Amino acid sequence: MFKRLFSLVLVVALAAAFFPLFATIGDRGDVSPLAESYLADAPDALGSANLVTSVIVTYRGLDTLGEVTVLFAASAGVSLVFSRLGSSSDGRRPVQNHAPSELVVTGAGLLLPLIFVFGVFIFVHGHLTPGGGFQGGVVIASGVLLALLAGTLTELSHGMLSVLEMLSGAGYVAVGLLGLWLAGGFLDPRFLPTGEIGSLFSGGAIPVIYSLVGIKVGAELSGVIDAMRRRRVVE
Amino acid sequence: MVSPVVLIAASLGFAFLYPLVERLGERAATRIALLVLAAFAGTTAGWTVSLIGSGVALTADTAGFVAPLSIQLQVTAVDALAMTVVTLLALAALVQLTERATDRWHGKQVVLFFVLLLGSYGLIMTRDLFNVFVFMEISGISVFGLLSTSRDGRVFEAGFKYMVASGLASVFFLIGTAFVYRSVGSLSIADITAAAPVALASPVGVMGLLFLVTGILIELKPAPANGWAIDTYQAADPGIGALLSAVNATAMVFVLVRVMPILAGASPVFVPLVLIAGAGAFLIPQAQALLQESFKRMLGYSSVAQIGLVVLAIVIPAAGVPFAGVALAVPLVLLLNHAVAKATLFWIADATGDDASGFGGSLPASLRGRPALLVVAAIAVLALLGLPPFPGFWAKWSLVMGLAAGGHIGLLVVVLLGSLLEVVYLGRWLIMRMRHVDDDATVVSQRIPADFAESRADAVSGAASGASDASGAAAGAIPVGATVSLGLATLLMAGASVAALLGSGVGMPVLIVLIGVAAFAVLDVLRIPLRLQAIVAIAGLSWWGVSAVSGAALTLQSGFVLLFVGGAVVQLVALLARPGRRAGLVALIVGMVLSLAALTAATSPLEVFVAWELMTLTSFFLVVRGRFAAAASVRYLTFSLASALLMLAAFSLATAANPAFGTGGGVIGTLTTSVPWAAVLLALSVLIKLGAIGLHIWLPSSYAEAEDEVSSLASSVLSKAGILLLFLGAGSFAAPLFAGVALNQVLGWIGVITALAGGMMALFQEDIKYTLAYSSMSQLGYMVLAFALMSHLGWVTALYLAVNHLLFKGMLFLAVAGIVMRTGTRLMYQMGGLIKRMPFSFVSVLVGIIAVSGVPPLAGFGGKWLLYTALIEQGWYLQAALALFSSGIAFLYLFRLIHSMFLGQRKTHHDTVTEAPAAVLIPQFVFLVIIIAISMFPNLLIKPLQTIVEPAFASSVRWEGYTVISSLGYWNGNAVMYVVIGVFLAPLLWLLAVKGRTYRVEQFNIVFAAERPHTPQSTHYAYNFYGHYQKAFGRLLDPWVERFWSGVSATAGTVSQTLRAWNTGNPQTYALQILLYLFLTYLVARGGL
Amino acid sequence: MMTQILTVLAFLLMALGVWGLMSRRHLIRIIIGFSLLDTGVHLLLVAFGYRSGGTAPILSDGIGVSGLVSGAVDPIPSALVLTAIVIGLAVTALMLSFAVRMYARTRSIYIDKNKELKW
Repeated sequence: MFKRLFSLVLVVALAAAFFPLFATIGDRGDVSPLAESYLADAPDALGSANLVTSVIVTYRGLDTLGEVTVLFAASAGVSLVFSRLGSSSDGRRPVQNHAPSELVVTGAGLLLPLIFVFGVFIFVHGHLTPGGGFQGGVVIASGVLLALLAGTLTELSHGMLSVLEMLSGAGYVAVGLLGLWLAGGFLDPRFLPTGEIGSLFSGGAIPVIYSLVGIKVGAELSGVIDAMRRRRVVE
Repeated sequence: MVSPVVLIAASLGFAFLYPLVERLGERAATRIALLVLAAFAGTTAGWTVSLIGSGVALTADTAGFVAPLSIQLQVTAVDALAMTVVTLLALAALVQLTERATDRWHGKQVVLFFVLLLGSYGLIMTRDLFNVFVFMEISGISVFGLLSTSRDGRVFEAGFKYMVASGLASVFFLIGTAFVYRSVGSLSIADITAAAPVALASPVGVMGLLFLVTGILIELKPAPANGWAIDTYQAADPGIGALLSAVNATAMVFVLVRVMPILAGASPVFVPLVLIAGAGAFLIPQAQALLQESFKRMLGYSSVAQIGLVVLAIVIPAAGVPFAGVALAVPLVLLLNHAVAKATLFWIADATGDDASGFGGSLPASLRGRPALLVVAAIAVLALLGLPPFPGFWAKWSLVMGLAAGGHIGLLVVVLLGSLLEVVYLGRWLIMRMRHVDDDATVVSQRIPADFAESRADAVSGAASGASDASGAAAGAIPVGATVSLGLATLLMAGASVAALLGSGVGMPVLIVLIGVAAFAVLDVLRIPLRLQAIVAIAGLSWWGVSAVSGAALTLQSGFVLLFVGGAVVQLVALLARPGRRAGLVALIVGMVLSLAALTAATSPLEVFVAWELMTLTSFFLVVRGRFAAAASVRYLTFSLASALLMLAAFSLATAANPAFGTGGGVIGTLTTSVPWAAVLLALSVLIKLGAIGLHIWLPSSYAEAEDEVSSLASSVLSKAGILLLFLGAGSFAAPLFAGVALNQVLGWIGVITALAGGMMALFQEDIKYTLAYSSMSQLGYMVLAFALMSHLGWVTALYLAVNHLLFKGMLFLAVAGIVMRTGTRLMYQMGGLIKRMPFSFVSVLVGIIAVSGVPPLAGFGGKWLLYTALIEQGWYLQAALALFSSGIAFLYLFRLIHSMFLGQRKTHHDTVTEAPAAVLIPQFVFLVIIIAISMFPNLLIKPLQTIVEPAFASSVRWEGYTVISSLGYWNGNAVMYVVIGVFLAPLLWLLAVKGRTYRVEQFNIVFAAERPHTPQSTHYAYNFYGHYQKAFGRLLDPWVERFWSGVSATAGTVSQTLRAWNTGNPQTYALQILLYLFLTYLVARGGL
Repeated sequence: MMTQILTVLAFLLMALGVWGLMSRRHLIRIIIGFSLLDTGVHLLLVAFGYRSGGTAPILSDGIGVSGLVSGAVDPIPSALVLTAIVIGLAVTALMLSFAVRMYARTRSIYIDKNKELKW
């Protein structure tokens, strides 16, 4: 009890200490010079309509590669965490307490194609519209989750997931290296023609990267869902 | 050169493709992984070679745009070096993890391993603030994933705590980054650094940076907000522990290095803030690590502490000879030194599967049968403790010098205290690993066996120990992986040591010592028998000693070289009596002698300190060889290194006050300082080494429990190092210190009380080696007393006593060695009547004790005469009286010695003992001849000693033939000899005349009562020989000092327990601590704004 | 004004998250607290990129490059926040799986039953 009281006091004290810091941040009419140069130069330089995408995939492409790595590591970690548990008992068998409801099954039949198409759309159009590889990948993974819940899919092929993960990941790195060797630097997308702003085939390799990211994220998150689903734990 | 970005791409690409590689089979895949790592190591090493000294950095912008538009990677020489070491350690770690007996890593584990490495590379190379965050998370998440490989189910709990903590740290870091971006408008670290003095100097900017730095600090696992990290270290696979502290932590430190210029530019408040954080992070875990029962947990505490030290070093500019002026050299060296050493220790923990720390219920298994593993463990521990010749030593020296130069006395105390605590717990573990399998590490005083029957086997001295007693040591083979990785780490450490040695500017003496040790170690590896090694050592040292002093004028320096080398060479002859092999013995003795010689030749405080540490180390390893010496060695190591740390403190304070301090070269008074505290610390340091009263508790057991030959060397030769240092620092002790009292007066009192107390304690020992050890303590007290007089006669006396003590203590210990060798016991009441079986030993002991006790006619008398004359000359009457009294006591214990051993009745089972081997007798008789010579012709010794003292004091005595004349009287050694011989001859003749009328008592001519006494030895006349005096001395004999030090140790334990309790194990408490940490940094910053 | 509202909101969200993290005993709730904290930070990042009356930094028919320069919000925080969100997701996934393993070991989902390692 004392501890909780102390936590409360501390949280309040911290809040009181730092509130002024947050409260003084006001509106501003301009953006930082760096952002301004992105806004001014990026469309011409990269040919991507979505500047956030330009920043994510190209200017701060290393961050994004890192982000993919984080997700990749997390997915590997989750499967490691559950692998020991799985091998200790009959963990391979999915625990299916009761059949999915009619509503879910029917809904899934209707929605699944749409979800997958939507996911693909999001990552393919990442350089044109809000969205991108991660968002698309997450949508796809949510489709997989629905399919599993509805029983449309009972078992995910680990081999396939892993091949997808591997190919898309390695492809991403390869595209980055192509940028290094064919264009100005690692992850430079301009070794492909930048095309006309606003068209699907524009932005150099940005759509390629985002597609790879989309596939990778979709596969990884599906893997995470699958790893977690398999175990309703009894150790 | 390979672009930095390729390294990132390659490690990531390999991680992605690893499942494909594994199609080739698990073994093949891990081999390929190792090859890839080797290629990385080659790349980074290539960078290091081409960047070092060039002053340029390797830069790679990404995406075809330059920073700040895109993220920039950069590799400086420092980065490249760190990455090389990290890669090599990662390589070793991967070998260890994929080639061990159980839980071999494969599949996703190898993948995550590469991701972790990638994260570390990124942290070191990136020059973008947000990118730092990404790499931080990459490292963090890969570690979390890998944690699950532990067999310890508690690892998930630990990992959860870790995630909460690192999540909070990330949040802080992100908030900080957001504010920095808002204020500066760029994420490039170069831009931010440039803009910091203007854009970030506002309160908002400082608050933002406060979040940023707190986030980074939390990632560095600073005490007192690091319980989660410690829990993780304990529960995780030791392989992960190695990765965490060698790879992950090393890379994280670079984030602080990058951010530090921003912080310093923005506000002056951050430097003290980081200093406080570093100091806390160093000291607190060192205290918490005491008494830990889990070795992994202990290593965890040690790791976070070491990182704290590195944090300190980042902020403190280096000073002193090595590394001064080289940017970041000290933190880098400390960091890499720690990385290699800590990884080694974790791998040893993994390879032996033994998590016992040496505290608590169970002791770790002895590794005596595994010399290679033991050497590796010792290297790792010594390197961690910052001892020479390892790189950390030079860095710690520069850091401490820098602290003193900057006036950070509080931090200086923190660093030294923390280092001492580290010595206690890491040293204890090492000693437990080195102990003899029979040793339960409890022996700190003489052991009286419960019964005669059991006694013989039990009381066998260290003589029988050595490489042969491997049985019962740690079982199970060391896996191939661990062998390779430990070998690689050791090579790395050795290479770094040599590099640091050559770069330090004072490496030569150290190198000589190392080469000496290494040469004989090679002989050990070649299985050359002990005798042959001893002959080589005798020849080599004699040649070396002669060439060192021949032609040189007699000075303090050459005099002590003669003393050290001569004394050791003569005693080495005794080793010829031992057949077979005893690994390391000769190597260590040679190392000790060479480091003593280096001490005489030192021309700077650093050289003195290096030599002092080397001497401490070599002698420590000699002591620890003893069969029951574990507990004694713990004391020896702790006190010796405490002494060294005090010396370091003294030197740093003195150098800070006077940069020319100690640069004179081995003459009297070289190390003179006018800083009172430095003088006091120096005196304390030396007094510890001399076993002065109150600081002596390490001495008796260390001397007594060492192997017999080592005991004699330690007591006769090694103990003189302290005397040498007194002379070197002479001028420091004479100036009035506090309230008009000069330090030398205090020293004088300490000396005489030590002489008295040592003698009194020697009286009541049954174990002959303890008697002699206490006697040494007492004799050293006399030397301190004589030195403290600060007069010509006093100093001549001190040196005279030193020489004399070397001679007779060598004799006595060797005589005892011979007797123990023949009788198999060290307890005096178990001997008796040996005069007829061992007549030569008897003569040696007889002469020895006459020489010690200071009765005419031998040299001891001369020493006492000089001492009393000198004391009275200075008006120290009370001290003179006490010295006289303790001489009487000395006579008593020596009488007991000769009486119990040689006179009286012989035990029947000793009827067949033979005289000690010639090899043991020869050195005794060499010493005996010298004693007789200088007794009859005192000018032979005293005149050279006067020459030595001459530079400091003009002579106050004059000579007429063999007669020395002082202001108070004269002494003619020759005449005294004849008179005494005359006086003794008469009774002797009379005794011989009446010999026929004596009645011989038979061995069993004793009436036994029908009861069996509880302690049968108590019925023996020689047992408790001076029991009646015990009553007379009363409470004076209470073990005050033992009690005091056990109180100190208990208090340290209590403090440690209290501090440990802070880490409650509850994630929410840990989160609370982290928030509290943030709040404290806020308060510190507010205070400084 | 908008920025201020957002930052204060972010601040409150963070405080709420921290409080949840500190005061709940149930592991899942702690993780939820953690996610709230993360979300607060993300909100803060987005808020810092806002400019008065700004539009999305996406070229479309109505807005040319000059329109972006004068009227679009800062694209950098948007990019950063995406990265931060994904990383937060990864951490949450791992935390949840660790929670499962903790529960499997001790049969308790409460934090104070899961603290064997200490001192």
